[in-house]
Amino acid sequence: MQGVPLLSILIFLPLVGALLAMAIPRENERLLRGWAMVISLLVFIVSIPLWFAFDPGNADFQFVERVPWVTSLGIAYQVGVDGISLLLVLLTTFLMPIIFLSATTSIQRRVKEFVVLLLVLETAMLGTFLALDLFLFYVFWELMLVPMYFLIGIWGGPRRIYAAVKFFLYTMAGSVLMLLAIIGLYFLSDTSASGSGRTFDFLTILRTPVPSVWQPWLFAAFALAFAIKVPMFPFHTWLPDAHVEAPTAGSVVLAAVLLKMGTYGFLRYCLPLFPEAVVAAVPLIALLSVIGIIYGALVATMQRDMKKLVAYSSVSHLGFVMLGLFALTPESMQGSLLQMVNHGFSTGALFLLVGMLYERAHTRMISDFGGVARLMPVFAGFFLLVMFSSAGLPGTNGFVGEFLIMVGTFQAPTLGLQPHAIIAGLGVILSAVYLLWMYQRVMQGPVKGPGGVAPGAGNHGGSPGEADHPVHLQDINPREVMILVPLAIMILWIGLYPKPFLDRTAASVTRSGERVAAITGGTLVAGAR
Amino acid sequence: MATVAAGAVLGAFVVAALAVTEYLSGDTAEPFRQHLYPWIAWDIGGRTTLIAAAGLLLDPLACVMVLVITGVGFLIHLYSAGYMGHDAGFGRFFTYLNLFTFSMLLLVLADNFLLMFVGWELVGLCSYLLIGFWFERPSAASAGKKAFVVNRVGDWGMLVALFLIWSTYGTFQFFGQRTGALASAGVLDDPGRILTDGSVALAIALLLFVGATGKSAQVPLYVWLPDAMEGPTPVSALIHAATMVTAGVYMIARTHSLFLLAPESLVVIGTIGALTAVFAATIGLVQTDIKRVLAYSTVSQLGYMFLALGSGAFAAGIFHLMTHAFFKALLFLGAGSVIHALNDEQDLRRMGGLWRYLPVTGLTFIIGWLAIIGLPPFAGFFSKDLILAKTFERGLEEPWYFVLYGIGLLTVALTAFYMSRLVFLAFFGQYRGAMTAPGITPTQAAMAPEHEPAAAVPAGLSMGHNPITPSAASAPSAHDTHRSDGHDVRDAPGHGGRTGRPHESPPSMLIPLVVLALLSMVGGWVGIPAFISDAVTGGHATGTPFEQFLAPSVGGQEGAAATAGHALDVTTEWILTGASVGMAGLGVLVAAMLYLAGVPNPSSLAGALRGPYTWLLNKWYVDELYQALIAHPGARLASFLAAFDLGVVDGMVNGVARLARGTGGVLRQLQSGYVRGYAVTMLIGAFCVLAYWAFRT
Repeated sequence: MQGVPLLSILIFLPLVGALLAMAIPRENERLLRGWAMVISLLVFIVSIPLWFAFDPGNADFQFVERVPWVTSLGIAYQVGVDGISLLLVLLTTFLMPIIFLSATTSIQRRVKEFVVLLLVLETAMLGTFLALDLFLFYVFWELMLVPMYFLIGIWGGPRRIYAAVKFFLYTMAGSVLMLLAIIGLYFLSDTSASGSGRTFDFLTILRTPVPSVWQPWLFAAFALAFAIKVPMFPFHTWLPDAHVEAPTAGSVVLAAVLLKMGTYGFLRYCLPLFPEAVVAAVPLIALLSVIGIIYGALVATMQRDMKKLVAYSSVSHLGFVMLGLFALTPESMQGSLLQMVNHGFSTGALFLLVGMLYERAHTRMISDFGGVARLMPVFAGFFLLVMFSSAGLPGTNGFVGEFLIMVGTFQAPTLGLQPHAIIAGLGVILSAVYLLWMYQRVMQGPVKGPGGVAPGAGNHGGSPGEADHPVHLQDINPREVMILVPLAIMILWIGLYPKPFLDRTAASVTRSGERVAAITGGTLVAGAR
Repeated sequence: MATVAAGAVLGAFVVAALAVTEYLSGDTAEPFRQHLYPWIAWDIGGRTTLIAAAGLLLDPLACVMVLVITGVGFLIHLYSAGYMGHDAGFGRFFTYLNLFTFSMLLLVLADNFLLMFVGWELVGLCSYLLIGFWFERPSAASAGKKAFVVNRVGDWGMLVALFLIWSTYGTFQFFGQRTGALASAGVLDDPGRILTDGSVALAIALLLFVGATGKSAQVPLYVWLPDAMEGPTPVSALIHAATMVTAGVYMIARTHSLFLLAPESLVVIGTIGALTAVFAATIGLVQTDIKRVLAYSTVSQLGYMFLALGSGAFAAGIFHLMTHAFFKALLFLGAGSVIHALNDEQDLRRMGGLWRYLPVTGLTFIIGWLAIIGLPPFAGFFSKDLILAKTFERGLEEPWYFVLYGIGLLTVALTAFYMSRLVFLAFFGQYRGAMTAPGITPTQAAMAPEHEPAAAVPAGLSMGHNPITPSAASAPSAHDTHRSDGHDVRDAPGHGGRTGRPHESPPSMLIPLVVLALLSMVGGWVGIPAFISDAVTGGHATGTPFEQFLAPSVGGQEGAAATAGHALDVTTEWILTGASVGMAGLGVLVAAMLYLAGVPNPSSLAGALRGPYTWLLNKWYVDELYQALIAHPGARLASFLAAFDLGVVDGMVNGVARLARGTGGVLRQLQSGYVRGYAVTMLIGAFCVLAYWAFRT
C-alpha cells in the first residue's frame, strides 16, 4: 500500500465521478443511476483496505499525504486517518451505495443533478473527516453545505425552500465563527515576532499548546459551530424542518453522516486543542446533553409525522454521544464514537424505512396508518429490528454504544456526572415509549388508512391530500431488501461483536482525551483500574 | 414447522440433561465455565480493557433453571402445535417461541451480569412480540407495549445498579479468578474490594431489586402482567408463568452475595414480596376471566418467591420457582384447553360442569389446583411450606418477619379460595355456557357468580380509564381468538360459533397436561423437609435435599447465615405445617360453600359487599392511579414541550432571522445607489482615518 495515495483517491473519486456524470445526457437516467452506483461502490471498495491495513495499536495518523498548497500562508493539502475518522469514513462509503439504491424510485426528476450533487457531497464529507489542515478542513466543511442545500431545496417537500434556507443560514452562522477561530489558531501557531512559521497544519498546531487566555474564546467559536451541527439542545430546531422536507436520500445522509460532523469536530479539535476550556465547559455541555436526551425523547413522543419523530429521536441520541465525549473516560468516549456509527446505521435505516412507506402511501402521518405489519410482514420485521436497535436493546449495536457511554459517564472521576448518567438512563425508557408507540399505531391494530379500505369504513374522504386514495401497500421488493440487509447485518454485528470496531478506535480516542485527563487528574489509560 | 421448533427445544432439553448429568458427576463446588469470546472489549498495544465477555456457566442453580426452561418449554411447544394449529401466524409464533427459549437460556447461563442483561432484555422483547402476537387487536398491541415499557422502568434501576457495580467492583463476572466475582464469596473476601460505604451496597441491592420487580411483576411494577394475558395461552404458560417472570428471582439468587452485603435490602424484598402475594390474591378473588385469575395468582406466587429471598432462603425461592413452573404451566395450559374447547370463551360465568366434557383436562386441572393450594403431598405444599417455615424462622431474629409470615399464611387461605372458586365454577356444577349443552341455558344459571348487582356504580367514578362497573364486568375481555385468515373468528359469519358441545383437546395438547400433572404431584418430593424425612428414616438431615443440591450456588446455610442457630424444633415445624394446611382447607371450604352449595348466594354476597367488591374488581384502581399520576402528566409535559419547541426554541431562531432581515431592511437604505451619497461617506471615512493617524501618539 505504500506510495498509493489511498485517501486522495477516496476523496476525489466521487468528485471525478460527478464531473464525468455531467457528460452523460440527462435523458439517460438509467445510465446516470448506474454510474452513480458504480462510482459509490468503487469508493466503498477503495475504502475497504483502510479497515484491514489500519494499525489499531497506533494512535498517530496513518496514510498521511502532504502536498504544499499555499506555502506563503502555511496551507497544505494534508490528509490522514486515525481511529477517530476511520469508522466515520467507512460509514460514509458504506452508506452511499445504499442511498443511491434507495433513490432509484424516490428521486424521479432531475436525476442528473441529484447524482452530481450527491457525489460532490461524498467528496466533501470524506474530505472533512480526513483533512489534517485546518484550512482544508474548513473548505470541505463549507462545501458540504452546498449540495445539501440543493438536495433539500430541489427534491424536498412543500416547505423545502424555508427548510433549506434555514439549514444553510443556521449552520453557516456557526461556521463563520469557527473560521475566525481557525485564523486565530493560525496566528497562535507561531507567536514569534516574524511569524514565519505560522501554519494551518493541524499536526503542528496540535503540538503547540494554545495559551490559556485564548482557550475559552477559541473553544466557544468551535463549539458553537459544532453544537449547531450535532445538533445540541437548544440549537436543534433546524433539524426537524430539514428532515421533514428533505427527500429520503437527503435525510439519510443528513442523519447518518452530516450530524456526525459536529460530534467528530468536538472529538477531533476541541478536546485536544482546548483542554482547559473543555474541562471548564463540561458542566454546561453535560447539562445540555442530558436536557437534549430527555427533551428530544419527550418531544419525539408527541410528533405526528414519522420523520419528525425520528428527527427528534436524533436529538436525543446525539445527546448521548455528547455526554459520553465530555465525560472524558475511555469507556464513555469509546461508546460515543461507536454510537456515532451506530446512529448512522440505525437512524439511517429508520429514515429509509419511513421513506419506503412514504413512497407507497404518500403520507408520513402516523394517524394515516394502521395494521401495516399485516400487509407488509417483511417490512415490519426489518422495522422491528431497526427500532429496537434505536431503542438500545441488548444484542443490537445501540446497546453497546449507550451502555459504554452511561457506564463511563457514571464513573467520570472528578466530574460528578453520576446524576447525568442516571437521568440519561431515563432516556432509554423514553426511547422505548416513543418508538413502540409509533410502531403500535402504524404497524399494529386493524388495517386502515392508505393501506386499504378499513373493513366497514367506506368514508375515507376526511383526510386531505394524496392520502385520500387508498393504495394497496405491497411488501418491500428485493431491491429494498437489498438496501436493508447490509444495515441489519451491521446492527447485529456491532451488537454481538463490537470488539473489532472498539479496537480500531481505542488508541486514538485515548490520545484525543489525554490532555484533558492531565488536567482533571483522572487517568485515561485504559484498563488502569 | 412445529416439528422443527419443538424438536429444537427437545434437543436442547436432551443436551441440557446430558450436560447436567456430566456436571453433577464431577465436582460441583465450582461452576463449569466456558469462555466464548471477548464481547465488549478493546485492546491498546496488547493491553485489554474488558467490560464484558461472552461466556457461559453451569452450576446447580443454572442446572435447575435450564432443565425447567427446556423441559417445560418443550411441553409447551408441543401443546402449541395443537393449540395454534389453525392460526395464520403459525410460523411467526414458533419463531418467537424459539427465540424466547434461546434468550431465556442465555439469561440463566450467562457468566456475567452484562450478558445476563442481554438475555434479560431479549426475553422482554419476546414477551412484547408474543403478547402482541395478535397485533391487529388494539388491546393486544397496547398490552405488549405496556409490558415492555413497564419492564424498562425496572431495567432502568438495573442499569444504574450495573453502573454502580462497575464503578465499585470493576467487573461484571459472576465467578472468576482475575477480578473477583459477584456471585461467589469472592466479593466479600477480596480485601481490595470490600465496600467502605455500606450505602453503596444497599443502593446496588435495591436497584437490582427494582429490576426484579419489573420483570417478575412485583408491586409496584406488576401492572403489565395481567394485561399480558392478551397473548396466546401457551405464551401465558411459558413466559408469563413458568419462566420469564421468574427471572427476577433467579437474578437475586444468582447475585445473592451482593444482597447479603446489605441485609436491609432483604427486609425490603421480603416485605414487597409478602405485600405482592396478598395484594394480587385479593384481586384474584373476584376476577371472572379464567386467565386473569391465573395471572393474578402468578403475581401472588411470585410474591412468595420474593418472600423466600427476603428471608434469606434463596434455595426455597428457587424451589418454589420450580414447582410453580410445573403447576402454573399446567393450570394455564389447562385453561387453554378449556378455552379451546369452548371456542374462545374465557368467562368463568359461562362455564361450569366441564369435567364431564373434558375429563383429562378436568383431572389434570384438579391436580394443578391441589398443587397450588398446598395440599400434601403435591408439589406446591413442600415449596410453600418451606418458604413459610423459613420466614417464621427469620422472625425469631427479626420480629418483623412474623408479620410477613402472617401475611403469607393469610395468602394461603386466599389462594385456596380463589383457586377453588375457579375450579368449582369451571368444572363443577352445571354448564352455563352458550354452546349447546344438555339441560341448562345461561339465564337459568342459578349458581352464576356475582351476576350484575342491582345498581351500577355511579358514573362519577369513571376516571377516563374505564374502570369496570360490576355490570360492565360481564363484557368479555382479553380473549384468545384464533385467527384463521387474519380476522377474528367471532367476526366471521358462518363460522361454527358457539354451537356444538365442548370438546376435549387433541392428544398433542393433552400429553403435556398429563406430564405436567405428574410433575405437579411428585415434583415437590425433592424438597421433603428434614423433620418429615427424619421422622421416617431416623436420620439428621440438614435442610431439604433440594437445598443441599443448591448449596454450592446459593450458599445453603451460609446463605441464611442470619438465622444460624435458630433452626426450628420439630414440634414448631409440625405446627407451622398444620397451620398452612389448615388455612388452605379453610379457603377451600368457604369456596365450596359459596360456589358448590350456594350458601350464601355469591351474587347477593357481592351485592351486599358492593364497595369492596367493586374495589377489587377494579384491581384497587392501580391502573387508573398510574394513568393519573404518570401517564397523563407525562403526556401533558411532552405536549407542552412539543409546543414549547415549536413556539419558543424555534421561535427564537426565527426571531433572530427576522431581526437580521429587519436590520438588513434598515441598512438597505444606505445602499441608495446615488454616487454622491457614497462620496460623502467615503469623505467621512477618510476624515476619520486621517484623524486617527493625526491624533495617534
